[in-house]
Amino acid sequence: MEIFLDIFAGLGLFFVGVKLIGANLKQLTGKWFRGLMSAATQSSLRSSMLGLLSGALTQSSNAITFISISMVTAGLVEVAGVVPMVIWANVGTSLLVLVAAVDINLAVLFLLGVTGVAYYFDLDNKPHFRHGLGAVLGLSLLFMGLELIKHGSVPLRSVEGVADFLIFTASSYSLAFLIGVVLTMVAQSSATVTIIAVTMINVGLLTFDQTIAIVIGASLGSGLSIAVLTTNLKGIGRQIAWVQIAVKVVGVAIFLPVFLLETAVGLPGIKALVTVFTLHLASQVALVYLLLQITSAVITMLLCKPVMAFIERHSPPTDEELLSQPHYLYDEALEDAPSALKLVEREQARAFGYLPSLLDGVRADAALTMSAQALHVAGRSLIEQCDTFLAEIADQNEARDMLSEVFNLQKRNEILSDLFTALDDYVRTVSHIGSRSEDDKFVRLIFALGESLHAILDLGKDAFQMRDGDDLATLLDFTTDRSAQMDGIRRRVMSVGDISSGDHGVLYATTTLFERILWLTRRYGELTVEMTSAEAATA
Amino acid sequence: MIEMSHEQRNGALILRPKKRIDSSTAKSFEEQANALVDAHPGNVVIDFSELDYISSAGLRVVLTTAKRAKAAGGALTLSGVRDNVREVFDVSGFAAIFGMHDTVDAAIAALQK
Repeated sequence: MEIFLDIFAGLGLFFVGVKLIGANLKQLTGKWFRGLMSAATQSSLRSSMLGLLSGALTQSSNAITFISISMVTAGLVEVAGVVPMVIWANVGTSLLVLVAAVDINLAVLFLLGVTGVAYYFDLDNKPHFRHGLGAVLGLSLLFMGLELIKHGSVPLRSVEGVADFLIFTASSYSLAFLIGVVLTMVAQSSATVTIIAVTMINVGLLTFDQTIAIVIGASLGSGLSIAVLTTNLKGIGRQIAWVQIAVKVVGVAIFLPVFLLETAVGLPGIKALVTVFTLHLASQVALVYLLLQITSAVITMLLCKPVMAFIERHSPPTDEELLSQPHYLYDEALEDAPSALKLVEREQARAFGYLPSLLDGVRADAALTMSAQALHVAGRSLIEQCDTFLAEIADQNEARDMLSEVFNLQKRNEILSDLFTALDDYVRTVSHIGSRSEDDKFVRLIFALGESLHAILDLGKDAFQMRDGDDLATLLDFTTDRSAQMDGIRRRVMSVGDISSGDHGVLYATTTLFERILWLTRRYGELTVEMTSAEAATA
Repeated sequence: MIEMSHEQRNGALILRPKKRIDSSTAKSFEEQANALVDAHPGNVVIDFSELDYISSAGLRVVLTTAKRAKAAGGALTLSGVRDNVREVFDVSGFAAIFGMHDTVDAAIAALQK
């Protein structure tokens, strides 16, 4: 019982360690890492190096894959830029496997002692040290856990049932391969499973061949777990997931037949190769893991063009992703603030252009080319990107004129966000009406409100995107205060007397939202005029 | 393709679209209206007395026609709007901005003031 508890406690410490490292490094590297990613993904070599580094730091190629997916879908980096990083992150995960293969018991004890002393002196409360110290504690616990597993596993060989099981499974590579697949799908990390396997071979619980089968199985398990976790993804997100899956499949497709041939026929292969470098079994397994990752990465990089062409053909970007990509914002523009502000204004006008189509779901005369959901998500994404861009312009420039323009555009961003919310509310309210006769007076009123909103927003789209002064003036004419008019409509409809309580609610909500949308559009127009006038005065 | 007749009366161009102006007919209405406004620069009356349905696409064409008429030195107003489409013009603000008259003659008179 004590043996199993040792191993169980060791696994517990190991998993806590893995979690602590990941969580603290994520905090430590958040903003810095995002900046680094944007810069590094400009070149294939730098992107690969960043992959190596981030794989080594996070010990999870899956984590890097998901970070890449969120950054690409947020429009911060291009797919092509993150592909080398995703591929080489796998090689980065080998670092801990290599370290775990070496006996570093004394170093671990020292590290744990130093960490404990640092905690005793409250260094974990200091912002500069907190996350770094947390990561070191995680690393110490991880290795302590491995030591406990080793310690608990030594007497395990002499336990009767275990010995029989080991003899039974020693010749079954498929079972070991399957264990590698399943454990990795549970642990979400082939490096984690390999480290445990390395520990087991150190104490003689696994044979060399079994361990290699587990390592290869773990690679397939890692690919399968990404496939399972990304089944709900579409478009670009799925493209990146498929790149990672391709890396895993390539590795298994090369290493598994070579390993089987070497074991069955005795042809020199992986085992012969690693023996050249070291005779230490655990180190040999760690080398197999490293070779597997390097081979997969190199072959996938070489096949990158056809692989990407295949992936792009079978998972093209979704409407939402295409609409979310900024057309005008790019980092280099930040160097010239006046131009950067112009670009934000154009990007905002583009987001404004999504507004009329949000009504298409409740309009009879609509082509329905884009889903309202895609437009909504994409519009919000563009607004967020404009917001980030404006914050960076404000950080870099303190000139008063510049800040007043930044403030103007920030206000417009808020208005845009409110417009998206108001239109969403409007569509949801109108959806409650259901299908009725077109002759119904109430339906005719709702129709008039929807068509009017659409026409005015469409006019706004042209005015802001084309920067047309006449259209802008007309827009301001059309968006004057409508409270009296809407109040009159409410009274008129209510006076008919045969309106249901449901329709009463819809009437009140739609007319109020109509007023609000027009007021917000007018405010947006006024801010546009203000900035244009200020520019003309400066010129 | 929209059905539309036109005439000139007291120096104003009268456009009379029929039945429906929606996304499928708006383009042809716009093309015909543009060509006629270019050929007869000046005031324009759009007579909706034979129109049963107008959507946002139609409202947009009214706006572009008004812009074109203005560029040619004229103005635009509306006449003969039927009850079943009146609400669209009222709610959108077109009635208040362009003026809405019962007859073509009343519309021409308003433009000449």
